[in-house]
Amino acid sequence: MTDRITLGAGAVVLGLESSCDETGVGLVRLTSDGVELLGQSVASSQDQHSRFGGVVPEIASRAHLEAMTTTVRAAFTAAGVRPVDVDAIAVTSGPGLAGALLVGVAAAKAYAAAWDVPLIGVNHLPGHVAADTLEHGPLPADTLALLVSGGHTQLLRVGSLAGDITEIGTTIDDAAGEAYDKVARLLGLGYPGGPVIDR
Amino acid sequence: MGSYHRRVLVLALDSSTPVLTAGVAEVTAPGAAVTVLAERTLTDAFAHAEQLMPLVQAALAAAGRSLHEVGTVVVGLGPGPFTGLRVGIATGAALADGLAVSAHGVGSHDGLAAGLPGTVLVVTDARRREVYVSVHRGGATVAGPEPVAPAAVPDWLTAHDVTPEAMTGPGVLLLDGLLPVCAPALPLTAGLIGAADLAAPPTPLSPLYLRRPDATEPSSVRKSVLGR
Ligand SMILES: [Zn+2]
Repeated sequence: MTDRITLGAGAVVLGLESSCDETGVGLVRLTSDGVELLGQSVASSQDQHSRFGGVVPEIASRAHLEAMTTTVRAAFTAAGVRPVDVDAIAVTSGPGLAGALLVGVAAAKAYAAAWDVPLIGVNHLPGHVAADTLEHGPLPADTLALLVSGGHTQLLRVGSLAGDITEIGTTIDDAAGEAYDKVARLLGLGYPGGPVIDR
Repeated sequence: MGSYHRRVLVLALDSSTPVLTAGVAEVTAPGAAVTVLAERTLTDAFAHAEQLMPLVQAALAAAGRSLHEVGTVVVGLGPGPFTGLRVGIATGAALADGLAVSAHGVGSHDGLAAGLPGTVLVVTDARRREVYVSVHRGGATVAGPEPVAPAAVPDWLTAHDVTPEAMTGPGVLLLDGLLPVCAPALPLTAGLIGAADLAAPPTPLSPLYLRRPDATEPSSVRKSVLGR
């Protein structure tokens, strides 16, 4: 991995995420003030976990390996760009399920070597926050972000998405998503709990 | 795949045992002799993810070749501890996809047994107090691979009606003198490439897990989550 990588506007970055039960591959183009999503593809192993009432790490890891290259190809098709257009690869290096993360990291290292492009390891929590910029543009200066997902519930002070992020507070037990799943299990509503309870 | 009108550079990877292996070889035609140019190994059961790509680059550098000259990737499919095994397979699959070349999977035990005379038992560590065992004769697998408790291996051999004369593989110490130990006949790179069918159309690289994932379905009795 490279220490500091400078990518200008127009650079194409392939993002690869495998921290939980979804194999996600996205291609973005950097713009003068943010990023433009060119295309993406997601493979999910959610159906295979439902009868266990939660994500089974080994099942997720197996599914990532099975889906990896086809998901990468599908993302290129969706984005309308080719591997030679890629200027860098970003991969989730944590936090997440260790065995699942390793599949994405191993694949990302190999793609980076094959394409001769730099590899950037990314903590995926700022990634959750950054996803909002695709829809709403750059974050205001000194944003306070509430991050709520299956695995996290925390307050973050975001100076810059590129690294200046401080955790101000976090749940001391379960994340919001886990709470949904546990309530759903208690009520016999199946897994995942979120969609059922929302209805 | 198409016929080999020239020498093809093959990259071989195996991460199914603590001996992480990356090698480069030249093959003139499918099924013809494999000329190993360089092989690099590293024995560390817990560094596969960090060490495999550096090992690939080191093997290529030692052979004086670049990744972009690789024409085919051959990957050991195990069996082996799952997390480490997946590192090699994910790496091999992504390298082949990224380089737009074919990838071929091969049983890692076939690679370990390659070139040995007679009937040979291949032994690797399956963790959880078991070993992965398989029996090979003349380039063919005649039993296994399967996870078996070390004490149960003699009965396993009897049940499969096989009588190997020797054993090989990184797990032989776990069988504690059951059979005479023999060293591999070939570098693993040559064994894997020789065991792969490079002329066949590539198939998905599916690991030989040989065990189901650990997971238990929640009992139908609803436990309260409020009590703790
Ligand atoms: Zn997350």
